[in-house]
Order: sequence, then structure tokens, then C-alpha cells
Amino acid sequence: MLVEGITAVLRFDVMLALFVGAIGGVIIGAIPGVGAAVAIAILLPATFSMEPLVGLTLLLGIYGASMYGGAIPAILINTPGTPVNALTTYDGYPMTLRGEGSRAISLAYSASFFGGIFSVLCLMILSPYLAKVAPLFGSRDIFMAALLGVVLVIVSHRGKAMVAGMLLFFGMFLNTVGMETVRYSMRYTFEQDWLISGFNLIVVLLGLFAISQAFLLLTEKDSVPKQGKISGGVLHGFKELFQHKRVVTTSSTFGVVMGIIPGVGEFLSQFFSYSLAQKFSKTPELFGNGAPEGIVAAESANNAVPAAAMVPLLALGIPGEALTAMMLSVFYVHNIIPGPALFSTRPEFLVSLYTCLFVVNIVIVIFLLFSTRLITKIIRIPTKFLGMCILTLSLVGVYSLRNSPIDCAVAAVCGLFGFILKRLDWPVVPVVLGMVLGRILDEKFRNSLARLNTPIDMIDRPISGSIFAIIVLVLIAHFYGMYRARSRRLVS
Amino acid sequence: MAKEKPQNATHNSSRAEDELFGRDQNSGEIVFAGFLLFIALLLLALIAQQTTYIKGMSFVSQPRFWPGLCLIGFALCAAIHFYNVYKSFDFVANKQATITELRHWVSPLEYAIYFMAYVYLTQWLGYLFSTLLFSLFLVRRCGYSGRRWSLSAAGFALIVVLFFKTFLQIKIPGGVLYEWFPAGLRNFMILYL
Repeated sequence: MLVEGITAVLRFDVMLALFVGAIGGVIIGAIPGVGAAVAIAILLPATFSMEPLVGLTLLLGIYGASMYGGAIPAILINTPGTPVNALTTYDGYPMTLRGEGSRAISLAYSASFFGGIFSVLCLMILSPYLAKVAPLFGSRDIFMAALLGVVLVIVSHRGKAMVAGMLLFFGMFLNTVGMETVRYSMRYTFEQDWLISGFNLIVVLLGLFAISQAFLLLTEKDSVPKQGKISGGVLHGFKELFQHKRVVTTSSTFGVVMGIIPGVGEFLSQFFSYSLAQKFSKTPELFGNGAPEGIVAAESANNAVPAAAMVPLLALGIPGEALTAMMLSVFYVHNIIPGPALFSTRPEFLVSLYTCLFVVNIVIVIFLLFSTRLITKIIRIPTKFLGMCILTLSLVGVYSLRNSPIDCAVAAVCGLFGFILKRLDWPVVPVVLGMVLGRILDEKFRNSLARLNTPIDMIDRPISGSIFAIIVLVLIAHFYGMYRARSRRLVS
Repeated sequence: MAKEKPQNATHNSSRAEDELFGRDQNSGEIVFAGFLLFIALLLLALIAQQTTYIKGMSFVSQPRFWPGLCLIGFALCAAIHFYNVYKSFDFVANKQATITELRHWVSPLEYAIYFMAYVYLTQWLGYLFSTLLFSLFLVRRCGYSGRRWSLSAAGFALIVVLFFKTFLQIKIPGGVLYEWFPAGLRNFMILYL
């Protein structure tokens, strides 16, 4: 099984996907305004014709590599390449201003590498336990885990919990449109034939992520990112990382834990890591003014998330955030159902996936060590031209699915919707997670009904009961936080 | 050293009220929150028409149970958010800013129309020619003039077609125009471009 899994990675098509994903992901991440979500949404339909391992390797490569690449403009020109690199600007850019740009970049690479490798190793170590625990999850337990995901998606959007809730329920509603499969009755089809099959997740994804981003870039004032300058090598950060052992290990652990919890993801993990690093630092006043520990905390935490985010996806079939939700469709297209059974039916596939995740981090770092200067030059694409590129590429994603102009029109409408959400600074992700989690909740709820005599039966299993207790605790903590904030406001 | 704000950093309000309810005072927010509330209530009002009720089936097994639950959640959150935005919104002070923001929301419609035109052109001209035409037109529309930009746009279009259609073999049918080509070239164009 182990040999079979590793041998699969050495195949030419897998290696090609690995290199293309890693290198492409770094460049995509380094271009402000694109990001992994846009690239993955566009490439998703193209991966359906590939073998599942090849397609997933390509997407995982882009996912992991974009965060490495996103640190370059964050540090050199104070513009995060991807949203998750926003915290890196706080210390990276001040370091560049005082002539330590290459040191900051080097630290970002080494911290990202540590975070990435650490989380893959955690995934490998956890895997045997997951293989034992995952089959214990029945329909009710998976329902509760998805419900926990719903609750976490809402409460993790601090300050925008109501907006996140509204959009999440809207996404869940979108998933119910069309013909339901139990009694074959129509739900909200308005007698339109094209609505019978419901809203396609990929069409909605492309609209919300890619087309909306193209609209945003095309309608806003044109700008060209400045060219950041670096002097000196970018290798020494790997030595310097040893001076921040505690920060990098704690932050990577945060990344792994937060990555495993559905709906939490990179933002909270790096926020907690950064806050903790500042709290225990000997020089907390340096944070926000060019503290190397700040870069280490932010970068190691966010790079530890991608591999960890695969845990709920592989073990329970529950995606924790938008990118793993996109990858879920690759599994479904190839009839590989992620969930408890995957560990017993396709263990070699999982070994290959872990190996790819491991190798991709090495490929990225080697590529970056030799190409950082080149990347700083090629990322200088004017924003409107970039918008044109994304809109052109969006057609590939939508039209190649079913050659349907209606799909393209739906994607364009979703693009307009996403554009307004982005203008309002409202999160887009809850809509997508609502669609995915809504389907899981609906399906598992129906499966559970046969075993339910009273509502209490839903939580009378040890796992579902424990998850329910966690949901209650999360809600209590959230409302207590609200109460405390309100009390503070009244006092002040 | 003065802290410089990242160029596209996300907005973070420091006020406790904002923390709780997300009162960003973004002009236009009240309009969109109201619009979503209206949609939620409209869909909820249509539930009897748009879903089926099956006699003898338990309430939770009904086909309308799940969409109803989602719409109740949607409407509830939308109502709370709308109320919170409404409570803190200064209509007089934000009138002009709101109108400006609403105008901005309409601006991408132009590009949405171009995108749909591109979709229809692809069916007639084929993927290669429509992509070339679309990128060259759009680059002009964005205000980039001169040979350099035209060449960049054409080069980009060519790379996209070669990568996706020729190399990855994605399913985009050949255009009607290809029917006019000689047999050998027609087959090649349909398969690879």
C-alpha cells in the first residue's frame, strides 16, 4: 500500500501536475488580485478529465504554493498577494523599509516551509487514527459535524456573524433548488427547465470568486504594483528560523488545529498565532514595526492549514473552507466519495495524496530560492489587464462544464452578486460552504430519520452527543463574548 | 515608524457595536441588506406554491422542510442585520454616498454583457477567434492602446486556447465558422482550436 502510493506520485503526469501546480501557484499567489480561489475555480472543470490524483495534486499545489507566493508582494510592496498574507505586511513591509527585505522574505519562506511540512507530517501521523475513528461516524455524527461547521462559519466571522449567517443560509437554500430526489418533487424551479437540476456548485463558485474578481478589477482605477527590490540571498532565513523555534512550532500547531476545525481556517489561525507570539515576545513593541517573529507566526500558521484542512474532508467528507469545498467536487466527479469508507477502500490514494503534499512544499521552496527576483518582475501586471485575463479564463471554467450559455449567465449573475459582496466587504465563502454543508446536512438528516423516534435520538450516540456539546459550548462562548463587548461599551 | 496600512487590507472596525453587528457604515449596505431581506421574505411567501406537501408524511420528511428551514434562517439573519444597519444609518449624511455606491454596483453590468457576447461568439466563431476578439476588444475598452498591449492580449488569448483546448482538451465545441473550412483544417480546428 505504502509503496503503491508513493510509486503513483512518481508517474510523469502526477509529477507534471505537481510542478505546474507548485510553480503556477507561487506566481498566482504573488500577483495581487488573483489568489488561489480564483485560479482553482477556473481550473476545476479542466481537472475533471484528469485522473483524480493528477487533478487533486494540481489543485493542492496551487492551494499551498499561493500562500508562499503571496508573501512576496506583502513584504516588498505592502500589498498581500492573497488575503491570507495580509498579516505578513505588518512586519514584512517595515523590514523592507529598513533594508531587510531579503531577510523578511527568507524568514517567510522558511516559516512557510516549516508550517507546510509540519502539517503534512501531522496528517501522516494522524492518518492511522483517522482510519480507526472515521468509520465510527454514522449519519447522525456526520450531520452533527456539519452542523458544527455551520455554527463555526457563522461565529468565526467576528463582527459579521449576521451577514455570514444570512449568506450561509442563502447558500443552503440555493442547494435545495431543483428536483429533490426522494419524492421527485420540484422545489423553487418556477417552471423553468434549467432549474430542475438545481444550481451547479462550480458555476456558482466561478461566478462568486473569478468573475466577481474580474468585475472588481475592471471597474476600479487601474494600477500597476510597484516593483519590490531585494538584495542578497534568501537562504539565511532557514538558519534564523531556529532562533524562533517556539514561535514557529506553536504557530504551526495552531495552523494544524484550526485547519482541522471546519469553518475556521487560515485567518483565525494566524490571528491567534500572531497575538500569542506578540504576548510572549521579549520585544512586543516591535510587532507591527518589523518583528521577524511576526512574519514567522503569520506565515507558518497559514501554511499549516492546507494539509490540515484535508482532514475533515478526507475523514468525514466535510470541507472546512472554500478551497476544500472546490476539491470535493473533484472527488465526486471521479466517484471517490471522501468519508469514513475512503480509508479502507483507497488507502494507497491517501498515501499518494500525502506524499504529493509533502513533495510540493519542497518543490516550492527550491523554485522560490532561485526565482524570487524574477517573480518580483513578472507580477507587475496592471489590474485592468489582469481583470481582462480572469474574465477570459472564466469562460473556460463555466462553458466547458456543459457547453451551456445558461450556466454562463448564472455565473455572470453570481459574479455581480459577488462583486457587491466584495464592495461591501462581506464574506463570499459562507455562500459556498452553505451550498456544500447544506447538501451534507440534508442528506445525512434524511438518512438519520429512520433511526429517530424523538429529537433526542439525534444526540444519543457518544460522537454526535460530544459534537452537540461542542456546538453548545461554542454558542455559549460566542454569546458571552457579545455580552462582554456590550458591557464594555456601556461602561465606556 | 508610522504604520502604513496595507493597500488592500480588509476593513476592521474597532467599535464594540461594529464588532457585534458589523456596522461598517458602508454606504449601500442598507440597500443590499434590505434587498436580501425582501428576497428572503418573498421566497418564504412562495413556499406553498414552489414546493410540494405530501399527505401522510411527517413534517421533517416533507420536501418543503429543508428549503423552509434555510429560508427562515436566511430571513431571520437578514432581518436582524437590516435592523442593526437601519438603527445606525444616517440617511441624510449618506444619501449621496449611497447613490454613488449604487451606481458603482451597476458598472460591471457592461462587462457581464461583454462576457455573454463572448459566450455566444464562441458558438459562432469558435474558441480561438472569439477569444482573440474578446481579449483584443477588452484590452482596448480598458484603455490600453498601442501595439504592445494588443500583442500582449493576443498572445494571452493564444496561450489560453493552446493550453486549455489543445493541451488539456477541454470540451468546447467548434464554431459554426469552422464548417466553412476545408475538411482537413476543419477537423483540426474542431479538435484543437
